[in-house]
Amino acid sequence: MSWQEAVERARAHIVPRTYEVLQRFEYVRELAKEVRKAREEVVKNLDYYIEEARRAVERIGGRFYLAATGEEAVETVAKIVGRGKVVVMGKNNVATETGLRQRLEAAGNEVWETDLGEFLIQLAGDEPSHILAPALHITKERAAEVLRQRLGIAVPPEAEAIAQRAREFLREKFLRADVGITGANAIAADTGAVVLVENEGNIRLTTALPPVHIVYDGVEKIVPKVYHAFMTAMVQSAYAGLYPPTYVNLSAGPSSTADVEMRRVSPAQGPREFHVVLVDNGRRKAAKDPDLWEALLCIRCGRCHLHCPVYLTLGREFGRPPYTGPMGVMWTAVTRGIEEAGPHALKCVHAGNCREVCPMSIDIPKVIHAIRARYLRSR
Amino acid sequence: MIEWLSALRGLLVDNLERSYLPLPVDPGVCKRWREGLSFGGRERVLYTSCMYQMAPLIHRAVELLEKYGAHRGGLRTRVAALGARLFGGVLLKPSEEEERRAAAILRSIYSLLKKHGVEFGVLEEEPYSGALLYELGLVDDFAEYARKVYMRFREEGVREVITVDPHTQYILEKVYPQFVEGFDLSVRSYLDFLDPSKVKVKISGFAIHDSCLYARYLGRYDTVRKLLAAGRPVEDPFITGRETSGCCGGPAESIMPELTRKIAMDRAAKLSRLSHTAVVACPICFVNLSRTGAIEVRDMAEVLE
Repeated sequence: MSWQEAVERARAHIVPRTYEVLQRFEYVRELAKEVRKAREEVVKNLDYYIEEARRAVERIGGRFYLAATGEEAVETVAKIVGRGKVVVMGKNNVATETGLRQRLEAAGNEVWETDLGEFLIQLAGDEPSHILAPALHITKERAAEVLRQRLGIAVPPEAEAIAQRAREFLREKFLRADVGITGANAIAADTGAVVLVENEGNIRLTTALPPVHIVYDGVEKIVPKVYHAFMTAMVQSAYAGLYPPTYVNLSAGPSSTADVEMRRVSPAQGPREFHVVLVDNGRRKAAKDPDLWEALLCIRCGRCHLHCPVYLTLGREFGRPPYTGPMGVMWTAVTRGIEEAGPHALKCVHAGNCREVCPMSIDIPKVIHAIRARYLRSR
Repeated sequence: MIEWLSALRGLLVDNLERSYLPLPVDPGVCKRWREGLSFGGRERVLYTSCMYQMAPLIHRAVELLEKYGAHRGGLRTRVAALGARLFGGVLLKPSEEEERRAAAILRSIYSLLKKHGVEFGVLEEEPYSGALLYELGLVDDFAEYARKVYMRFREEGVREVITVDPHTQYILEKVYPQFVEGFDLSVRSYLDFLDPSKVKVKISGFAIHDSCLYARYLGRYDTVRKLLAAGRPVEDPFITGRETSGCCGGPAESIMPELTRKIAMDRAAKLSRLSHTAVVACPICFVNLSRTGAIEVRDMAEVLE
């Protein structure tokens, strides 16, 4: 099956469902406006909010790290993890951006992606094609083939069976895991709380079962208050057409209990360590950039991809994985610079659908046009 | 791609400097549609920007450049760059059918405006708007050229411009004010002058292919529908919705023609699920969707009277 057939199949499933969600739960559009305001406030005062987040994370017993570059970020995590550990990961675009899994594997750790799509990508030795559905390009037939070839698991080419066999395989990894690494949909600067939205249940297990939880994401995920973090999660899932989400997780520090004399002690059943590694890698510079700053408002719902005629035609050749599609061109510029994003910006047909469907109302065509103009000017 | 773009830029800028047209075209191509029509006044002009007339030629130029492997990069790109330079000595001409069709569309727009009592003149020699420079990302070249075009309008005493296509409307309404200091022309689409109760729709059961610019940049999605309503267009929320309708691929034509072709094929296939006829309101959409051969394409001005 071709890319276009695969993506049209996905569109047929998710696009009508997203419109149905937005029609049924009208308040989501209002929430989206609030989230945009909150994120804009943070982007315009990013350094201030990074420091606020640092103080909040430390207040709740966590360790906070700010990594200037991707290299610094992976080295920070590599030091926390050490060698010979079992690591489970929730889907994390910043991990892909910085090559985190590969770095941990090189250090002799056993590392498993636990999001089904990302798990398939890992097994196939492939790259993600969509910010939210990384295995969008992998058909059920190919997924079954990958499980058989890489793990010796025989499974019929059916989504339900594939999900079940992945669950069986990964369950043991969760139980053995020394470290769980997740991203964040939002990080509240007031409390240090990290909010994650998901449907599979893998993030809940990744954040709760291993003794060490590392949150690894970009600095732009900070929002001012914890309620903004919840709003972000709900808006993201609604605009991804998956509403209500099956799970919303809040992690605020190592596990704790106050059941003995009401004195809060740590750890309890969950992790004993809580680390928050926030990655800059071009984001702070972008926040001050007159064209790119708006890209930092993106909440990674992946809706723009499914309405972009260029992405629907070229797939992950439009942008640099994990940042593909309209948002991906902007994010390639943020994380890899104008030189690398420029050739992708040239492919844009400024159809404008991306801006119309963006929950943050990011003027994506305008940002991409600016990348294009700057790229050409530099040449 | 950069080498090719550099060659393309050279071609466009050279031609614009020489003739105020982006391609080496006989200026007669731009104005033969006016034969036998009367125009009055200069303050308000009908401005084609030679878009309908040149649209088939852009396609032809790209076809020629494709033969040189223009979009493939590497050594063949340098050959393509040479091919682009050679255009300097060649005048591109539309076929008789293409010229007749463009003229029919423009004459229909003329008649529709006259029917609504709109009086307007026309510039003897129309400068091209420069939209392609901007769309390609050549903003410095565009800014310099746009200032010259504005001066041409001012020198001719023009105060109001009536556009016939979305690219020209967009560039004059939204972009010129950002790049041309003191830009003060009133810019309106011919669609804005038409009263839905006074127009007839000659065909029915067609699908509407929206111009991206009219629908999502210029707020004319509903304008188009009101004018075409009597033809009972076939709508589908995921094919012809304001947010969901697709592009014809045109803006990538001069950079990645293969991408354009694939997008156009996909769009035509979707439209053909609704009707065997698609009505468009843009010369670029007209050319790109027509050449897919998957659907009959009519311009809005051809189906309104």
